[in-house]
Amino acid sequence: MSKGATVPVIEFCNVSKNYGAIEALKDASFEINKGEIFGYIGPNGAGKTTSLKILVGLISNHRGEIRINGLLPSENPNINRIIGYLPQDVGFQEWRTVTHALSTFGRLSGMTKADLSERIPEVLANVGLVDAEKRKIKHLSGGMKQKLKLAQALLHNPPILILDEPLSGLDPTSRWQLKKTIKALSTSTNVTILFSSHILDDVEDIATSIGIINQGKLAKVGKPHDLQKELMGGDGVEVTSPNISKKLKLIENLPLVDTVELDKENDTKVTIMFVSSVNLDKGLIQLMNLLVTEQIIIHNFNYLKPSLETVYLKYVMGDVSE
Amino acid sequence: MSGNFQNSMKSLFLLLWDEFKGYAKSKTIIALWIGMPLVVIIIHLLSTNQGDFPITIFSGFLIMNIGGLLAAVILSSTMTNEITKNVYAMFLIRPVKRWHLIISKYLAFMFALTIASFLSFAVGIIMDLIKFSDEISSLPEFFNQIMKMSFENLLISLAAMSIACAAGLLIGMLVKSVAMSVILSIYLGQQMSQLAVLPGFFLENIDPLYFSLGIGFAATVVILALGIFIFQRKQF
Repeated sequence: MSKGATVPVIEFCNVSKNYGAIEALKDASFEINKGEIFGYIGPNGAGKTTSLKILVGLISNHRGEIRINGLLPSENPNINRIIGYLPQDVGFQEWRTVTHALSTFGRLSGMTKADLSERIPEVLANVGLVDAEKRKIKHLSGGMKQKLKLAQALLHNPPILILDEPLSGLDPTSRWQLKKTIKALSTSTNVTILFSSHILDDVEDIATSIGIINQGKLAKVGKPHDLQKELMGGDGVEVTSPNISKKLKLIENLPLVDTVELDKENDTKVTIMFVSSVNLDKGLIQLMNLLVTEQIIIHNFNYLKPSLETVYLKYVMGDVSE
Repeated sequence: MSGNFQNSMKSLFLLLWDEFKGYAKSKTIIALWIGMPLVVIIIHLLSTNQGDFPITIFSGFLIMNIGGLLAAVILSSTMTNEITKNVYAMFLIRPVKRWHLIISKYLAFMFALTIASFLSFAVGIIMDLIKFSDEISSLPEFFNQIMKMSFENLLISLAAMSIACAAGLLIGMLVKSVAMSVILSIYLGQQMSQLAVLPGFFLENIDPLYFSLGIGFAATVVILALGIFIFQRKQF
């Protein structure tokens, strides 16, 4: 490792796990750096939950290596104190009240009573459970239990959050609120977040990097923009203009432009692809300068990118998975 | 190392206290604390043919039978229910050792049972004092005798219930349905708890107290160790 290089917060190296004859994970590897929001997506039964459970130590008999902050969890059992985990399929002891449950989990995570008396109201406010603090868990709705699961994960201010389907079962307002919270945790306090989801729009909204898993195998890992760019073969824009068709040669001659293609059915619409190795901003500046100089009237200007759904389907359907 | 040990003991104590608070709040245990002494009174009042048989002895038999059965049933069904609902994942994602969960559950329930047994014996002692008040020539001597008898019975009962608790935990871990867990506890849990009691009464030259304590301790350790071994390998 080069001098000054930072150790990834989470390293998941060649991890495999079998359930009898079923291979739940096959040599899966990814790394997550500090402050990243890693969206882990894949179809049902792809191996997402198994990966997350291996990371938090709920599943131990796997092959491959896990490192958290460069340390092996098997040799550092207290590493769990720096992880907040929101499990997908988990229940509470329903005789507890919300505050009692959080208090127990907080104490077991090493928090003092004084810390808890300040932190519990704070975290309940964050997840929108203020009015429920004295309620017994058996009287909470499904969405409220989901919020409580999130509250217990955030309670001890962990620098690493592992969230298994955190947005499922939440109403639209709560989903919006939670996405805002996740983004804020990453940007303001540099918390590293790994979350799994089926809802691709949510992943697209908040993830700074993505892992696509299919049938236990990691099909692709990368930044959303890079994956989209790779799928397109580079960055591109779509311009609609009444007088652009006469200037195609000029655009084509721009050094950072790779191809220019006029829509066959609509001669006011042009797709412009930049050279794949180039920085998009530089290409855009060059193009905009030309459009202004040549007085090309722009009716519509769209940055071309496939939706995350397109990227996901491409990799999951097996067309381009490695 | 000592820091790790301290943290480990702290989490064990926290779990133990937490479990006990849970039992103390549960209706089943409150029913046990009130119900067992109440059953002693009711059966004594309904039974007309007791002669000079002390109620304390009767309390002992009752606790051994009802207590052992209830211990096995309650613990096995709780364990099965909590494993099925995946409750333990919330604990195991924290620096909590798996065996702490089992030991804390066992100790907390034993403590709750000890309170119930103590209350039942206390009721037995009071009723004996009332029953034999006319025949008592020396109160301290009578009191000493009854206390000694009660204490021995209490220990024998606890030895039997200890086996039942451990067996209940083991059954709860192995079975996936609460109904099956209850049925097995009724058949196996209580029978196993009698290991600590019956041979002592039938074998000559054996002190029933020491026999019960020895068997109770050994069987509990073996069953709990087996339970912990299985729980350590469980995937949540």
